[in-house]
Amino acid sequence: MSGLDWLVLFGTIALIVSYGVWKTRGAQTATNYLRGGNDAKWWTIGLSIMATQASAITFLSTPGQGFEDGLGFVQFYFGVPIAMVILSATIVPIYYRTRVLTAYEYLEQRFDLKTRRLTAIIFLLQRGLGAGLSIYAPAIILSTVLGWSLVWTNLVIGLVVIAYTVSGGTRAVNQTQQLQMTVMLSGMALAFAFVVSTLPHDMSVRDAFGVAGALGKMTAVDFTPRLDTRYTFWSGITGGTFVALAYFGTDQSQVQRYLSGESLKQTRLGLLMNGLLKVPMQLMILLVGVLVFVFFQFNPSPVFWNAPELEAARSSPQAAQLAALEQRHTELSTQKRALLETWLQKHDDAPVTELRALEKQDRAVREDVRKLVKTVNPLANVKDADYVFLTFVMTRFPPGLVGLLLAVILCAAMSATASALNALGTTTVVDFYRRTWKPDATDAQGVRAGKWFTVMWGALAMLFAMFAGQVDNLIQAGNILGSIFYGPMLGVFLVGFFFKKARGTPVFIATLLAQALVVATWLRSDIGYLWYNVIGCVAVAVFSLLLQLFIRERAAR
Amino acid sequence: METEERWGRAYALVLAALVIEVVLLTWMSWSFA
Repeated sequence: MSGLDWLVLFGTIALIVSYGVWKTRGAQTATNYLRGGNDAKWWTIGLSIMATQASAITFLSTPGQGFEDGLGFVQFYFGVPIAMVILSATIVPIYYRTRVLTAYEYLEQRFDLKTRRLTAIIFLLQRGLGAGLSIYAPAIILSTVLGWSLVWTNLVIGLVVIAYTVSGGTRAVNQTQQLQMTVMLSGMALAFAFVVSTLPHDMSVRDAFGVAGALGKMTAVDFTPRLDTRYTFWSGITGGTFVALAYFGTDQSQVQRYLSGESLKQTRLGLLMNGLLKVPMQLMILLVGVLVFVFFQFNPSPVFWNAPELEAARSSPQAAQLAALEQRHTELSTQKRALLETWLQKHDDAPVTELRALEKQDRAVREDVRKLVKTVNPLANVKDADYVFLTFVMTRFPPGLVGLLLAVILCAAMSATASALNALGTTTVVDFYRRTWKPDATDAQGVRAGKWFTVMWGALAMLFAMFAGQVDNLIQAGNILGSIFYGPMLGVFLVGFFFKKARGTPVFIATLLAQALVVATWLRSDIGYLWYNVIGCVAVAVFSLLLQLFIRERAAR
Repeated sequence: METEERWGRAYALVLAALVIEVVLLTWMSWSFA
């Protein structure tokens, strides 16, 4: 890394953090600290919502998914615009009318204290783990590719986020996220332009897409009605909508962003902005991965992208076996390249059958290498697609742009972690400290507690990040973790909003039963994880209605 | 009432954008298949 890269990287981060701290200096009331002063305009809300969802993994794993599996992952985001419309029309006005500080506070007004506590605890568990993962996941990749110390990377990300989140509360998180998201979007647009410029001279973007398509990477929409295929149009439009409804409608790290809006109108506009931008943004990131794939059809590529693990395998007793596989990978790549070059010169029909047969053989070789690496080191992260984009950035990008892309990744890590810590601290204060532990707390005590709880959650997240073992595929681990809890969580809120006669105890029991059902589905079936959201949500509704018939609620609650 | 109508139009616009995106992506999937 050049001096210019370090300057761009540290300059960007320092500027954003100082801006956040400076904008939110001065004394604060508890409500202002937790609610952000209620002066956020729609663009701040929109960018803040997007920055909360965009973790570092979005910029590391998503291009990797594009590289490995093509554009299919974009279907996961089809539910976002639908969810934004549903939330703007139904749930958000209720939050504004009831003036709640957390989503779970609403559930006590609607049902009872135990339902509020249960959902708040589920959130704390899930988001607490998520916050750890949002520090750990980028740290492990950055430390592997750049040779940075894992402990120091964890510490730096964690401590910087804790510093500005604690000092300025919700407002600091929103203000910094505005800038972070701007850096992320412009950084990725520049990366896209640069990757295009690295394609062979006589190749247009259309030709590049043709090459990707011939090798099966351009299938963005799959209408096959299969439950065991992870990303299809149907799972995106149903499961994706449910997960987006649950995430944006009931996860405090998101709810807190838009509850800081100046008015209901500004919040709705912010949500709709997210609905308009999400699919194009994810498509652009996936296309970067696809274009990197095309680049490596005309340039030599390693057989395995986690370089330190590959080196370890090269000096292990399995070295000869690995050398044979590497040789086979080079041969297949050369054959593919020859076919592609002939085709591009003639511009006739693509030799799709031959190309896909070679690609299939190459994938099999790479799979054998993964197994071999796993035998050498059982703890190795063999989902090497996560390393493709960063390796490409480090080896091919010009000085300055490398620093900017690393700033994009760190901004993403910080923005996602900041929202999580802010929401974890707020939920602990509002739903436990001020509700049960110290109901007579003064305003100053409330702010102090908010700061201490944020520090506590930050420390826990860093501890988790330090001691987390190998996580198989980072982005999917995060999404699966979310999907296990999100379905029942959404179910409770939807029953609250739409079933006027539903009462606390049946809903509380239904939530526990639905959670057990989702865990059983996860452990015992092959159903794609996006469907867990639908199952959990529908189960709460059905169980609530059935239990309502059997359990007579005490008349005077 | 008028405000609700305007919000209705805003929601329709966001959903129409999604439909256009899906159509374009489907076209892209087929033409580069």
